[in-house]
Amino acid sequence: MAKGGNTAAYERLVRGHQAVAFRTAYLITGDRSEAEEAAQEAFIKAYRALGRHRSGAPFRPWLLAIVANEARNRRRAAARYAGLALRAAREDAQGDSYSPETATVAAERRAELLAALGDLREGDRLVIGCRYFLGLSEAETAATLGCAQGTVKSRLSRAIGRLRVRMVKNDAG
Amino acid sequence: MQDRELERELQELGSHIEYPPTPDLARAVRRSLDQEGTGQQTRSRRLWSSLPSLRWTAAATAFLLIVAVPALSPTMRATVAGWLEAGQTASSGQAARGSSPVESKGSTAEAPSDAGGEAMPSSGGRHLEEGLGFGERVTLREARSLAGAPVLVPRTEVLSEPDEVYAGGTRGADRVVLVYRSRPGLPPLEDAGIGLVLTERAGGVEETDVRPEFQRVEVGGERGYWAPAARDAGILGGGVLLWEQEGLALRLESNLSKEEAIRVAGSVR
Repeated sequence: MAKGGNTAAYERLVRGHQAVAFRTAYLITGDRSEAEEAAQEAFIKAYRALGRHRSGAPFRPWLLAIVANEARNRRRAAARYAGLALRAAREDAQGDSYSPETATVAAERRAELLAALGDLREGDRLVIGCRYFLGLSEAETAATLGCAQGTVKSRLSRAIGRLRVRMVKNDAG
Repeated sequence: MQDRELERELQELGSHIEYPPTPDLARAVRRSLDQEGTGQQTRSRRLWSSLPSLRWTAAATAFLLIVAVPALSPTMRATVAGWLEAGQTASSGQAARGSSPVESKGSTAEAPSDAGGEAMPSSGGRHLEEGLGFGERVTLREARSLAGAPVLVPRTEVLSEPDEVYAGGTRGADRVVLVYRSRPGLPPLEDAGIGLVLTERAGGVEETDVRPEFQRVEVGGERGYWAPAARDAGILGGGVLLWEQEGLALRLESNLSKEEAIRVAGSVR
């Protein structure tokens, strides 16, 4: 099935999507090596299934559905979810016109937000991550989460509402 | 704090997330696929590649044999086995057509994009079911004539005449499959473009010790069985409703909710 010329062409296709595939898998697994394995296996499975991909349909949502499936399978086997991390504050501050104090306050706020996000349930974290961190479209988010496109907006709205409640609680505490 | 303000903060937060560097998946994937092609893959990889398709093996075999079939009565087992056979036939048929996936999509593979929104080029004339092996494409009238039995059709505000009809099975029309495109009110199944598949074959559904995956429901006052959508389980990744009507066993797969699926099933006549 895998002939040299075809796999060479597919290699170029993979290169165009490997970043979003890997980050999607990382968002779900929270683990670098699991994400790498999930994304790699997803590309291999996608290759085998390309013949059934509907002509004219966007490739990326279809691919991300496979990636997410692989990542979820590994996520279930993982001992714990490590969570996302922020880049070092001084790295972010470079090139900013803000004062060091302002940058520090902003970094603290981002850390609070990320911590509150980590307190949410997985479904809420994922829909927020897909839309705001990965910048996926609603269709791509739906494919990644395995839900109908129409439900992405409502899921996102509910997730943001719960995040807001969590942030208010944390502020009050 | 307003949700809109929070959304803005989240967008800003996204640019500060630290991801590990993206590994060179492209090279690793190609190496793996090339090894498969030259027979150097591991035993497990060889097993996967020898199987005709991911969806029809992992999904159909795992779900139907492990979960669904043992939970069903002998009559229903035979029915479900028939549906499984349809998938295997489909997979074999796809393999027999000869062209490798990338050959058939060659122009796309040659034109990768970071934009992510590119569409696979249309090869023209492809049917919704291509690769799924539902049977021979026929008209609804031909299906009714071939089957020698009623071919029932949903009647709702969004569903009436099927977009495509297939007849298959050992005697040509033991099984009739009605395929509906996704549309507003009918979300797509995993296989993009298809919104609902209704399979009909002669036979009945018997009551059985249904596992949680197949819960007992009522369809138009008659018993039926519902299994919710599960990406790893359903043949097309959708929820599955089984019921009996007019001497037929019917199977409806879609991404509709249980209530919506039952409503559609109740409209079938």
